[in-house]
Amino acid sequence: MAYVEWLRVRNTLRAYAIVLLVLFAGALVVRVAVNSEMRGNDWESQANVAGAHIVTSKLPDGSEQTVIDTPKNGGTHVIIREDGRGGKTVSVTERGSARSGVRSMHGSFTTGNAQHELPVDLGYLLAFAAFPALIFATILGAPLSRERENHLEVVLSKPVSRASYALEVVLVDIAAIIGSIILSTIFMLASVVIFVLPTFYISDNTWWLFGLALAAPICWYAMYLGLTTWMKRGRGIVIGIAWPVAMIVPGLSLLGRGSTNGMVQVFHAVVSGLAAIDPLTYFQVTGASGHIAMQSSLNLGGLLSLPLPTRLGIIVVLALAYFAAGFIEWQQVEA
Amino acid sequence: MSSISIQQLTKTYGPFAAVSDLTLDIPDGCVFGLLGPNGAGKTTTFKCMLGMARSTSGTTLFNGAPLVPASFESIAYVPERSVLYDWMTIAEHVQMTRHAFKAFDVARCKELLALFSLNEKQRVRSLSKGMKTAVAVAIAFARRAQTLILDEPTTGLDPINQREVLNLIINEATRGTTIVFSSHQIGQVERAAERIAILARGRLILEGAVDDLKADRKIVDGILPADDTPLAAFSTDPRVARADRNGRIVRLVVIADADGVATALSAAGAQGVRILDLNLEDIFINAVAPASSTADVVEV
Amino acid sequence: MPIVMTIDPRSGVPIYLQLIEQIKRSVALGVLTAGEQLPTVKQLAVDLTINPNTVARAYRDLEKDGLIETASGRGSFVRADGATQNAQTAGSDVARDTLESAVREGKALGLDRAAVRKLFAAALDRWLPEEV
Repeated sequence: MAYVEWLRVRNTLRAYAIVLLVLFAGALVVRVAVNSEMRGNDWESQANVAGAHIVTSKLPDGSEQTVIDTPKNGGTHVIIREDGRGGKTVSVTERGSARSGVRSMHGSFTTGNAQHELPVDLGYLLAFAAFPALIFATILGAPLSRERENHLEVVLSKPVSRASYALEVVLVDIAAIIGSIILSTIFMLASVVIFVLPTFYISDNTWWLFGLALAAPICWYAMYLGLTTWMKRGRGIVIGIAWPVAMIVPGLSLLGRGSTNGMVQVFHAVVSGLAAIDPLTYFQVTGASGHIAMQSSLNLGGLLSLPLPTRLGIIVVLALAYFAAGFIEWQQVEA
Repeated sequence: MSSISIQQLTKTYGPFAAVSDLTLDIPDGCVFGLLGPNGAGKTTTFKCMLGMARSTSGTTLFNGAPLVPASFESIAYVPERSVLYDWMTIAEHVQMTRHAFKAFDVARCKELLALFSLNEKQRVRSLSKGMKTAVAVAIAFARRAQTLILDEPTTGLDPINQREVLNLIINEATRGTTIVFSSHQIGQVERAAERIAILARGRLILEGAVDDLKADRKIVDGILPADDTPLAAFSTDPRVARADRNGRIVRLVVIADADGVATALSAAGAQGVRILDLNLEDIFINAVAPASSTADVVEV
Repeated sequence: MPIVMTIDPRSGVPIYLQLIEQIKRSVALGVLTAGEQLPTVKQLAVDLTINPNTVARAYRDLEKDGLIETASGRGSFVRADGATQNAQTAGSDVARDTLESAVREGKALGLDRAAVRKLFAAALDRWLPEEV
């Protein structure tokens, strides 16, 4: 019964895959362009240049440091630091030739084994892949409202109940969203691998992150379904506005907490209410001390500081609630 | 068996009554024409019958039972406006129908598409209004349904294709299919329909077998001896639906016993009393138009 | 078997009556001979683009009038027995309707009995003169 939806998602997935392919091609181009800069190992070969002065030492934190000085380019000073766990830092300073005065170039380059390289929790891979899936879910968004535009007579004259039909459509879309997550995971892995070979580890958080990665885009899709199925027109506005609103609201809900001003209290209540039903609130990614964390380490309090399992639970409940709303609206539509 | 029974159907949108207290019985295997001016409630009636709009009150029974989703296996519906998907091709619509219904004759569908000179590979967005109608008709008739509900199935079609649709309807009728269709092409309804109903402003104005309506309804006209010859008797005569008078010329719309009325008119002193046949268009206009057709009466 | 029938659906005369008249004419003129098979209801409906039940009604009335007989499963046939009689009756039926219309029209136009008779006699002389 959901043949039309199959066609739609097939076309959308195909377009999505092409976009990812193009982006990957771009990443390849970038990779080739910075190729020369990345031969960190070349700096180690400076050790073989005539007149090179090499000093190796062990640092108090256990990492090994090699310092190479060569007369090249008016004097090149190379510091290579390896932490013994696969992480390597290369720092290069070149003093310019005497004719144009002192020209120095400071830089830190990542080598084949990435700088500041720490192994990454596998869950984050999927979590990152889920972000473009949110966009994919947006594009698919609101299939039932779409039918209301012009096609209800076709849909409502099929030999299945309304609920049955809606369920088929939703299942097709969910399958497609999961497909898009897989595609973007592959894309991300591939894009990273051409620069750096990542190492992953599995922690307690990993499976919660997986869950969130799958649930968040589906909840986003469910939200659109629940909000727009009763609409004949104007679906596009809701789909568009949802993004900026959903992104601002979590942060806004932090304002005015504990205020005694009546207006502020109302504002806070409204915004907090919106934040509570906003899937993005529970899908926050914040950076703190260089780590990307699904758990906010900034202790923002309230909805933004919930532990991962709770977030997953809330998102699932939210998704079910939105789906239920959408189905109820669908039962009422008239051609 | 595929009879349809519409019982006291009412559909209101707020204060506006699109259909009021409509009762119709469509027997099994009948070709039933639904006529009415624009906005009379024909499309609303179809939608309520098929459960696509929720009727405010009243029921529709198919073979004595209310409609359930499974009923649609043997009901095919051609809506008034195009409900095809612009971004899909005709072939994809055929596939969609094939997947949705058990009894779909793909070969017949291709035949019918060819009949209307349609190319399966075309995208619907590139089709004209008439071609979209043709696609919907081809798919509906290939369904081999026992009941066909057609809302203006010739919209936008050229006369040749209109005749093709008429042929399709007649062919289906010979197979005993129950067909309910609405059309502004009175000539088509005259040929294909066995029974008709006329709706106006949401109400049932007239219903009956086409042959009987034509046999019973006549115009009786005559010329009275003087401008002021009284004609009161005819305004209360149950056989007379309407009496128009322009000076000495009188025109009676008769719904039964035209001979008797003609005799009575002669007895009242009229000269040149004639009985004129009414075709379906005349019957329709007389039933629907307000009593101001003195334009039909020629000034002598 | 091919008989050419024209019906006018836009006419105020019910289609089944038009069919009956046309078949009676065909029999009267010998186009449809005794024992000949008429087209099936379905065939005639499709050929003339009219509702099959209309054709069925016409056939039923013709059978009641004794002009045709229907054998289920085999079709409808012009009655063989009393064929000449049937043909004449059929012809009379059609002619009678036309003549009656003419008399009524004359009356409606204000002609009296003598005037109508005179017109009738003139028409007879012109179109159906006495054979010598």
